[in-house]
Amino acid sequence: MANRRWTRRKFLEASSGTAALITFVQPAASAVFTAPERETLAAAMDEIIPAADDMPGASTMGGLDYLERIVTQVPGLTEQFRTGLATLDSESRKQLQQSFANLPRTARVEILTAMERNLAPDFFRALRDFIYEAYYTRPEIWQRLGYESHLTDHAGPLMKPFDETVLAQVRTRGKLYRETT
Amino acid sequence: MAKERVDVLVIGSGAAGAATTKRLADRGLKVVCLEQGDWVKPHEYPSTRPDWEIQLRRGAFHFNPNVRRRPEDYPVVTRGTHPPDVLMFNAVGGSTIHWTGHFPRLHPSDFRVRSLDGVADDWPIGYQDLEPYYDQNDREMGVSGLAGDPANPSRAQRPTPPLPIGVLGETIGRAFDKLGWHWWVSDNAIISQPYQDRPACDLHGKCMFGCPIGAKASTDVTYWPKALRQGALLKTRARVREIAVDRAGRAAGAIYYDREGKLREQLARVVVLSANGIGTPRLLLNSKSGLFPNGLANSSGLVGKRFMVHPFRFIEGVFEARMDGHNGPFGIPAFSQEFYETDLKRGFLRGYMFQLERSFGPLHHAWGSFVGKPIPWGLEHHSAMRRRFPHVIRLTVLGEDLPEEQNRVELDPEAKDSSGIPAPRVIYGYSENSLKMLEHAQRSAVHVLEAAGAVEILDSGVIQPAFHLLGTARMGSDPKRSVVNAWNQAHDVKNLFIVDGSCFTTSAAVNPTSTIGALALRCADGIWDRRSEWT
Repeated sequence: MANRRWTRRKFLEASSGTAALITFVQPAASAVFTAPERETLAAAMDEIIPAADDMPGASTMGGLDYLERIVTQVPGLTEQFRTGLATLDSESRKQLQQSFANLPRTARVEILTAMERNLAPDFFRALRDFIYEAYYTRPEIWQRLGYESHLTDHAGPLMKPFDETVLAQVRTRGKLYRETT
Repeated sequence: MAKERVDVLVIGSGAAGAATTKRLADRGLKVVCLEQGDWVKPHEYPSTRPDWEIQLRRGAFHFNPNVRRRPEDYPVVTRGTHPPDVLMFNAVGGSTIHWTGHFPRLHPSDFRVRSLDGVADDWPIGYQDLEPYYDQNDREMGVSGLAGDPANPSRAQRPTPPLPIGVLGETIGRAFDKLGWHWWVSDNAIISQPYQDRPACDLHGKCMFGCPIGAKASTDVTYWPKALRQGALLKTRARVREIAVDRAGRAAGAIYYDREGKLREQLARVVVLSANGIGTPRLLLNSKSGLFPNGLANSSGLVGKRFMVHPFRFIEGVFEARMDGHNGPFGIPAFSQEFYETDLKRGFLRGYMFQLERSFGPLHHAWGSFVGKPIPWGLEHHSAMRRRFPHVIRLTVLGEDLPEEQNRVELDPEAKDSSGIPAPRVIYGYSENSLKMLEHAQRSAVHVLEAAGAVEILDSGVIQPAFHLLGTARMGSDPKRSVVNAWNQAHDVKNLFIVDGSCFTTSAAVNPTSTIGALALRCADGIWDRRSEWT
């Protein structure tokens, strides 16, 4: 599909909507990413999994640190992320003269959608899947989701024992296999 | 080093190798088993850790050796119109380390597909030949389930009663009943009550990432402790390069690399090869000699040919009610064999089964579960996640794969394992029959999921073939058209026995492990009965 370009007018429309510019604590630089890269990543994380419906955004509660740790453990991933985050930011500046993190939320979603559809689909898939990983491997998220993990060094769940009477109907059927000699 | 000639050398310690070793050690024979992997220690299993689901994508417990890349693994090159996703494990217990434990048997008709349906070939043995060994293997492995299924010949009371089937089992059971279709609670090699020094299943799920309590029957916790008590010797990190032959063309033993990479030889009167449907033909093809220029036991040219994997398809129904598929043993609470036996009106030969399956945790669902449909990102994410997790019932279609010459395992001209041994290459494509069968199965699955009340259906479509490795050293009575005879004895090499998935003449439409174990026990009895020929 066509790559939708942003106009100044559309940008103003978008930023006058529900999402005003969101301010958040600037992530500090780390061994892996620069401070601006972390800022871009955190902003992308919170659009992929936003704070909504009583659930936290993906960058919070240690999510950003998890992701940063993981990218160093998978060969090639740090480079893929660095290149992808640079694309995210340069597209934002090209189209809207703003860093990705400074865009209003609707604009961020538009840029991410363009990344997903045609600008960088491979990077987007990796970004999405690793954000999902950073989110859903954390017990504090499980708790809010109501998921009891029952890790195998803990107790298992309680389940109703099997009740034979559920097979009453199928028992009445005759033999369903072919005899051979 | 003194070269002791033992009675029996077994190559591979998985479902077949463990059973053969234990049975022959019980007879008092001196048995040595060579295994290229190590013992897995229970605390190493990822199922104890919060990030266990990442093993579906990467890590030391990934199912595919090409992703896992442990030093004891060998690479498997894959090609063809449907290159398979090869799943296997190299450790004491082999691929039973990560299997789900589903324990169905072949039907009597599966042994007679040529006579009954005019395709492929009959096995040289029948269900009756294997029945006592199925029973024996059930007792050794420990099984939960319920006798009385009308789709299968009657069998003895299961060693332990069925595991809980949960809300999803009861829901889909009612739907099968509504349509008048067969279903039954599954036999699983997971014990529901304490059994022979092993504790009952604690219903954790995650079985494919190892059962640290030992309720799931991996052979490192079933056959091996007994075999070792009987005096069998198990050498780990022993990677066989080739089976050696003497001047008379008999198997002399095996040449292998030990843990330090030193080349060693193990002499034996009888050699049993149980390295799985890919590892076994690889080793035979790597065992070339002046007497066997095309590989060992390969005068028929069929070693590696007729590779079968089972056509699979996943169909998920999303329900308004919670199904809690993450609770309880992962594999197969219940199954349906309504479409198992051939019915030509369906437009394909042979048949398939439905397996009701549980699910992994939230991460796997977010990634798209088995159907490859990720939870959408953005503002809708949380509500979409809550709609699907834990609200899914999955039916897995497992169809019969018919043997075809062009589906094969051969040696790759370039790839090698870390010891420099040539690696296998697998070439595979689905047949027209399989594709038609999968279409029929998809329609039936949707029918029953909707009858159960599903509000949304998610379909994997035709997926990359995976899971079971079968048919590459097939059993038959004609030495020109098969590799081993009815006792798993190589036609060309009288003291070489091949028993694992590779000896399957046809694939049937059930998980193969209970049959592999039964064949191994029967093969061991054959070796014992003919002992005057080798001792």
